[in-house]
Amino acid sequence: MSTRLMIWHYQFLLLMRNKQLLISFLILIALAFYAILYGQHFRERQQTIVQGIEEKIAINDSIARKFVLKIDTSSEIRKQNFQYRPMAADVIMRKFVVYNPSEFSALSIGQKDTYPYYHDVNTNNSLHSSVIQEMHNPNKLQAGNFDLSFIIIYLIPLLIIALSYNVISGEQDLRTYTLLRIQIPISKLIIYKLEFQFLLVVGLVLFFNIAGFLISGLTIQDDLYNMMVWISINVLYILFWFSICYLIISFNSSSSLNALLLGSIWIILVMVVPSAINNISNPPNEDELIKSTFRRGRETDVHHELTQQQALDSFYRLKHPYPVPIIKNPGAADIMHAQRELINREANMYAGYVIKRQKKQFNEVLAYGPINPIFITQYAFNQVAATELNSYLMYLDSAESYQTKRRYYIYDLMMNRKDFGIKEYEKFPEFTFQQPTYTFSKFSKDSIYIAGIIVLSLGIGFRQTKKRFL
Amino acid sequence: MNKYWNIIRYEWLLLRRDRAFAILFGFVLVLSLYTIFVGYKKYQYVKHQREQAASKQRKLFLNQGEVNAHMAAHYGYIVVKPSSLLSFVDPGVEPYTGTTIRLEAHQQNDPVFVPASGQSSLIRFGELSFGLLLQVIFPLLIIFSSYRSVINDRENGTLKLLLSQGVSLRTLILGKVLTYTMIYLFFLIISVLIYALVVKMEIGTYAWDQILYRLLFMILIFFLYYFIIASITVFLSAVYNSSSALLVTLLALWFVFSIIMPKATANFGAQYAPLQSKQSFNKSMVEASKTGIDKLPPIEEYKQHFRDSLMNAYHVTDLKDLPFRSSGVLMQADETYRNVIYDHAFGGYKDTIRLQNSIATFSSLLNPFQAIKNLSMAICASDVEHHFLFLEQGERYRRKLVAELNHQDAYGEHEDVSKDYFHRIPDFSYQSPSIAWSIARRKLELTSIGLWSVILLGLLISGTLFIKKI
Repeated sequence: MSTRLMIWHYQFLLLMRNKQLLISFLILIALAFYAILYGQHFRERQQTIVQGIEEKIAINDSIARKFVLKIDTSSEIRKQNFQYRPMAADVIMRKFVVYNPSEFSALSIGQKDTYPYYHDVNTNNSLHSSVIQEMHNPNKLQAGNFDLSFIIIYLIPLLIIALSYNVISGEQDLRTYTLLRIQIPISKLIIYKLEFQFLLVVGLVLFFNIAGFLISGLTIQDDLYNMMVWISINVLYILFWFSICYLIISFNSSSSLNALLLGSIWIILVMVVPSAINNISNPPNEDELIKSTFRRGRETDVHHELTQQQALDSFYRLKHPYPVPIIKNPGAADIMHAQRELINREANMYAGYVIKRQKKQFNEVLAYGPINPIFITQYAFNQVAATELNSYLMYLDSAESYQTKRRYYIYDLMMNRKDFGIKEYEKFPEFTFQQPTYTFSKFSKDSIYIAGIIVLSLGIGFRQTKKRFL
Repeated sequence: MNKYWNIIRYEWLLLRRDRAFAILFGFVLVLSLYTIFVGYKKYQYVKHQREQAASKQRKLFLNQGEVNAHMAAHYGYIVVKPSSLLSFVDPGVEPYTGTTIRLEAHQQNDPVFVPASGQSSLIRFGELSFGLLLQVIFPLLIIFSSYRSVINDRENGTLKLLLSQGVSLRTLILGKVLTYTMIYLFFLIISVLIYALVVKMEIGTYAWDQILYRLLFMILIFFLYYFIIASITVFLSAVYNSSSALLVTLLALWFVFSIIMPKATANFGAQYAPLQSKQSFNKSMVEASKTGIDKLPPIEEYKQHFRDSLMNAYHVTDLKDLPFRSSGVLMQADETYRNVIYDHAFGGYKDTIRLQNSIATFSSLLNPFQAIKNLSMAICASDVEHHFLFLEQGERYRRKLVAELNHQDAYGEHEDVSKDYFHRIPDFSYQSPSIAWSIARRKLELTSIGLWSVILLGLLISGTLFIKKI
């Protein structure tokens, strides 16, 4: 048996005899399973609500179809009277778009619980001014989610610290250090011991991940790529903490000092640094938010008070994403639509400011990545799960484009005085939103600093062990 | 008493000579000043934003010109929760609650602009506030600075010497506990004094007494909290033989109490008593109006009865013949009916939240951190009860405003109100509750802190008899 295997074998025996550590493992396993089940519960709840929305859409759709089937636009006079009908059908349909929870969201809930996840996109209002926020318990949001990513990010480092803080100093405490020293170079012993612990932790985390994948209903056929990225994040994070432990151990300090230093590093990296960076990010601009959210009634008087010609002129001056005809004899419906378009454009413009600021703030947060490796790990998990701010903003962007497309589809019908029957109703645009994949290259780019810290810690640690454990 | 004084002096002398303690002291001071400074800056920014938003909305309301009273009720009023000076000590659940509500006729809107909903998941790592320092970081520092206090004496033989001189282990432990409690109390008092100075400069004498009471109460409960932490640490220091094993145990306890338990209880609460979805909440209100609740008949029956009784009272057969405009009176009757329905539904929502939070509240009997967390939020007026209070005051204001406008609609000289009419309607003003109100809702947490203090004092007095002395 090689020395490495022999050390691993004895490490295993020691582990089996350490009741305290075994109990900790069992508790950790229980917590991980609770976290997986809690995540699944969260996802199922959002899915149930989404299902309710979809059922409502289906009911509204059948009512709208009946309404459309009754419409008769066979004569020119009737066409004039029925100008409102496409819009009325749209109002009856009351279309919602949904930001569905991905399968991985059960493993990393991220900010998915705080973002609105369905939006009313009927063409009357901008989706930004009719946001439906689900009911929440603020205490629960403040406490955060007990999901698998929490277990990995918060608890696994503590397990690593508990396993490795006295990897050599423990031998000194037990007076076995001298005995070992004459049999194997200590620098090698440290590496072999940490290798064993690393494999142990990776094995445990893999077990959690596989359980999480199975419970969340993920399959190799559909989700292999994301599973691989997810596991890679785990392994890199574990390696990161082992490298930190290796660095501290390499200074050959006492068990207490190692525990104190590693405990302090955990607190600084997991609590102080992220929360301090969070402090630096700007608070929301409430005035800007009010402008973007409350675009109705008094706030839009300026558009309602325009004369018919002014409203149409302003409408034509807009940059249109789809062609609009010049109306020779505008009716009340045309004016109303021109006004609505102006109002919605304004609401979208203010919302655009808010979104732009949110994106800027988010990029600032990411710029702190080199000193905030824990958040970067959480961010990577959330990218796989599509539960981070950038994913939400992407969805919002798609929803806004979709709503615009719907509006212009109606304008086309109405302003060109086209027939509106069930055929046209069925041609209402459909919403599709595909989350972009979090690729290995993106992951590599995001985690370059973590990799850098790992290399640096291992490098310094290696030099120190050579120097201090001669 | 002299013996205690000597132990305190001796312990303080040792700490003064300890470089690590000097570093800790500096670290605490810098962090405290940083959090006070950053918190204050943030408070000023948010305060300015909210004042600006509220004043703009007020101006819009006042300058809406001659409009129909009912239309004005539809336009409504936007109220903004004023920023609290104490919320920068402990922001509590404020990042997760809306701060602005649009109040309008016929419906109760949800507060919007939840700060967390526009941010990345970094916000879930918490905010580095002064409250976080007091609750989470200070206890850690107590652990770091005192975990070796008795073990060291035992290891270097001082314990033997002290015992031989007639100092009992009980006196020694009590003296050490007092020393560490007083040191951190001193930190706390210094920080609170700095904070009080900042507050005094900001507000002058306005509401000063209320803030002062809250600060004094904060000092009192944190004194007890630090006593609890110091007692556990020093007592275990006398029980354990290995300082590294003790440190790992204490860190594990700290982690379980301050990270795992609050998160787990909040998540468990959310699962145990799930909140209604927004859709089913709205549906339940519609159903309740259709069928009636308690002694309230179905809405159509109620309206018919109201119309009939109105006509009977004025001896007319048609509403048009009433000596006032019936629309305003009927709308007010409708409001009154819907308010009862809303109160019933919203009461259910609040009850569910309280039920969810009761798990964490009960856990505070086992977990002093949970108790202090809830008490700190209550003292800083940033807990969920204060959020409910804002909602209640907003709703009261809405009802008064709508009733006033409906009255104007019914009995006003003209259907349109004059330009100056709106100046007669007072602005919304949030009334902060007294500290007695805030604390009255946290009796269990107070009991927990009291019980822990008494039990630990008992343990320090009698439990030392069972500790191996040498």
